[in-house]
Formats: sequence, C-alpha cells, structure tokens
Amino acid sequence: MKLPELSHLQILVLDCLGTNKITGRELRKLLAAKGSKKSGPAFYQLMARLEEADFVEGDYVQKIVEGQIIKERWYRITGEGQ
Amino acid sequence: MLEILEGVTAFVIALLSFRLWRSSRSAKPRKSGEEIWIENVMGKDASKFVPTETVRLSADHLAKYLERLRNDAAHFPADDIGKYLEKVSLNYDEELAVMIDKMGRIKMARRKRQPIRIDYSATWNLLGFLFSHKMRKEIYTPVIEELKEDLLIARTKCRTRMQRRWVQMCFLLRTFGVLLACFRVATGRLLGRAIPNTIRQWFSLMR
Repeated sequence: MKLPELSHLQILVLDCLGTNKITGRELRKLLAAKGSKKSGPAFYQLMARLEEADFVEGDYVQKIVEGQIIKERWYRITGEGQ
Repeated sequence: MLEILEGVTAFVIALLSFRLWRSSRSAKPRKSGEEIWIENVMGKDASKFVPTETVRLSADHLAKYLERLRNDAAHFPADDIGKYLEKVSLNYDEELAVMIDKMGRIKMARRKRQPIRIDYSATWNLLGFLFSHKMRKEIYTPVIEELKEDLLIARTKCRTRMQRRWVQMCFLLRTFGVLLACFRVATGRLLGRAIPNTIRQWFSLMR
C-alpha cells in the first residue's frame, strides 16, 4: 500500500489555512483549538516541512509594535496544497 | 645603594604629598542637604535636583515646603516630588501627611514606563547563532519574533520595579523554554536525515 504524502497533522494545517493568508501565531491557535497543541518550534518545523513540499508559502511581514519593528511570519496555501 | 633607596623614597613621598595637596585644593566644599534643598527645591531649578542624603527641614522651611506643595501640587513634576519625599525626613504633621499621600498617588499615576534593562533583542540574536542558518530562518526567528512581540506588549503594562523584574524573569524562563524546544527540533532534524524516508513517513503518520 502506498503511504500518503501528508500526515494527518499536515492535512489539518492545510484545512485550517483554507484560502486565507494568516500568521503563524493565529494558525497555531487554530490548531490548538482543534486539539493539536504544538510548541512554537515544533509548529514552525511542521510549517517548514510543508513549505519544502511546496504546499504552503511563507513570508515575513514587518509590523510595528510599541514603536519597534517585529517580523511576523505569514502563511498561505499554494495551488499544490489546495 | 642606600643613597639611591633614600632618593627614591623621598621622590615617592614628594609625589604623594603633591597629589594630596592638589586634590585638597581642587575639592569643592560640600553643601549640606539643607543648603541643597534651599537652593534647588525652594529655588527655581528643581528639576535638576536629585537628593543624595536625608534632608532635615527646619520649621521655617517646613512651612515653605507646605506652602509650595499647596500651590504647586498640580504643576510640580510628581516624579521629582516623589524623589524628595523619599529623602526628606520630616516631623509628623497631619496636614503634611495628607499632602504626601496625595502627592504619592499623583506620583503613582504619573509614573513613567521604564524600559526593561536586559537587552533581550541582542541576547536573542546572539543565541540564534547556536543553530544553523536554515534552522534559524525557518524556526528560531519566527518563534523569537513572537516572543519579542509579547515582551513589548508586556512592557507596556509594567509600572513598578517589581513588575518589571517579574516580566524579566518570565521572559528569561520562556527564552530557556524556546531554546530547549529548538534543540529538540534540531536533534529531530539531524536524526531524521539518518532514518530512511519510508520509516520517517510511517513515524509521522503514527504521531
């Protein structure tokens, strides 16, 4: 039997992403709400794998919090991921 | 030999005496606390005054001080008043106690947010070099940026020294937590490379 390319967690991430572009933090919250609580590094490792497989596209967006620049990671699903 | 030793000793003594004489000439006479008080607090340039010793006020100065408090309560910088109140030793006076309480509350309300001393940004940047470039870019940086955002938000809520210290400690612990989690992920990555792809996929399906 051929093993599926995606784990259930990765499918859940793609499901949570939908067609929106959302931040890593929000996505982690959505995952936690669906019962898959992950630590920050574990979550970003998961996202890095999805990015490597071209299912997801991630980029840094700068935002200003209390006068300081913060780089926020945003993700969106690719055609392949859909 | 003895002559040389005597000469050197004499020279050293002369040098020390000269330095002592110079330092005694250059040292300005110190002002008493009361003098500083009169000069700065009762005078014009109150903002530059940082008391260094306990000031004991005479009855006359106490009366002036009370008057000044009454007149300037609204305009006098509350932070400065706070500084004076910590250092000023006064006889108990009911009216003054009420004023001090009032000023204390104004001081608390106007207390400025002070920055958290530990430069977390620099520390976090440096700690990032424990990991490879790829690991840093993909995992460490986004986690640290989230932490940074949290710190900036937490900082806005800190008003007292205790609160700032508490936040510092919390973020120190969180930094350790993040580092440990990053190490765990890095180890997983390393091991992952050694394990054949089929077993890896099977393992990820089991999770």
